[in-house]
Amino acid sequence: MAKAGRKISGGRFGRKKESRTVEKQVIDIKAEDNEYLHKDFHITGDNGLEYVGMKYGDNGVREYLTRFAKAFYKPLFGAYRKEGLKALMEQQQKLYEAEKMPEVFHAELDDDCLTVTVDRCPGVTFMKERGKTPSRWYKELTNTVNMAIADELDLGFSLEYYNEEDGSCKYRYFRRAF
Amino acid sequence: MVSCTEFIPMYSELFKYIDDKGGGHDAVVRYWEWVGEEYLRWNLEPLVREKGIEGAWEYWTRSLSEEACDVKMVFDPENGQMMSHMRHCPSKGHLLEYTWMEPYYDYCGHCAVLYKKTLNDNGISQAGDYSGVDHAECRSVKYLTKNGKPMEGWDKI
Repeated sequence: MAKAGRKISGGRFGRKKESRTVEKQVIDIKAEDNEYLHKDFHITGDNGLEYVGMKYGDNGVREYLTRFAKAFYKPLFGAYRKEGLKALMEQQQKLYEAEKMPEVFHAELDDDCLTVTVDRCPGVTFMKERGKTPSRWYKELTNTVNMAIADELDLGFSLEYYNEEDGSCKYRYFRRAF
Repeated sequence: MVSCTEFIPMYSELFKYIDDKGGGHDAVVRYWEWVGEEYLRWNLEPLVREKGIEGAWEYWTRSLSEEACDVKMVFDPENGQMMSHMRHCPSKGHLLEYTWMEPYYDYCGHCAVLYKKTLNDNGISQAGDYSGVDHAECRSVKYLTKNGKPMEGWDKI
């Protein structure tokens, strides 16, 4: 940070009232100077869910998140078709690594089922630290988004539990048996 | 969970969803106005209420660092003005990288609307040059409303 400052003093009519430094500041940030991690986005994301929920109801939230999941996770769908459930597990794991909370994520994988247990949700943790209670639709980022991914991959999905207090949860992706 | 690193495409899809539900762009602008009050009361609003334009500087230097922006910012407290040249906005940049998705056509429009009321209520106005948003570039200035207009040269930093 470069600073070019000059000291000013005195009141409007020249009588000295205070002395303070007013510095011109210049900040020049390169993208590579910082890691991309802006946790305030958890709040904005929840605001979006709250707005859709209030305006278009529960089905609106599901519709919005399903559209998002099916549009955004297309590369994941391609990876799944090549690597199976392992691709799904690695994608989920990376979310928690990105949030700097890899220790809360636990996964069990076999040929037909991926079971994920999360000790606490990074988004809920951050919002609560800021004094914000997540909206009642926040859970749909786990429920609807994973359900939409599963649906696209012709997998079953089951949310075994979700604790709204801390976002801890357990869910399963499984191959459907017909 | 959707990670905060995946928020931008979710945000873009939100704008598309609200637009598609029948209200068009006007409905999206109403959302931006609403979320401006809801979201900024957690961060920008208390800062500018307490510190004025210095609070705005504090807010944007933190958030633009966390967002890993490629940006130059200048704060001139004596004249009550802060200027920025966003050489590469990571939000729009990510959307351009997600070639398999179509971004909301006015994605960048949220920036001009979102902060307006919170800034105006605290004696700060803003202006911007958004002609470069198609390649994730923009310039903006925040200045004290009582000054009437930004000082010349804000768009040349």
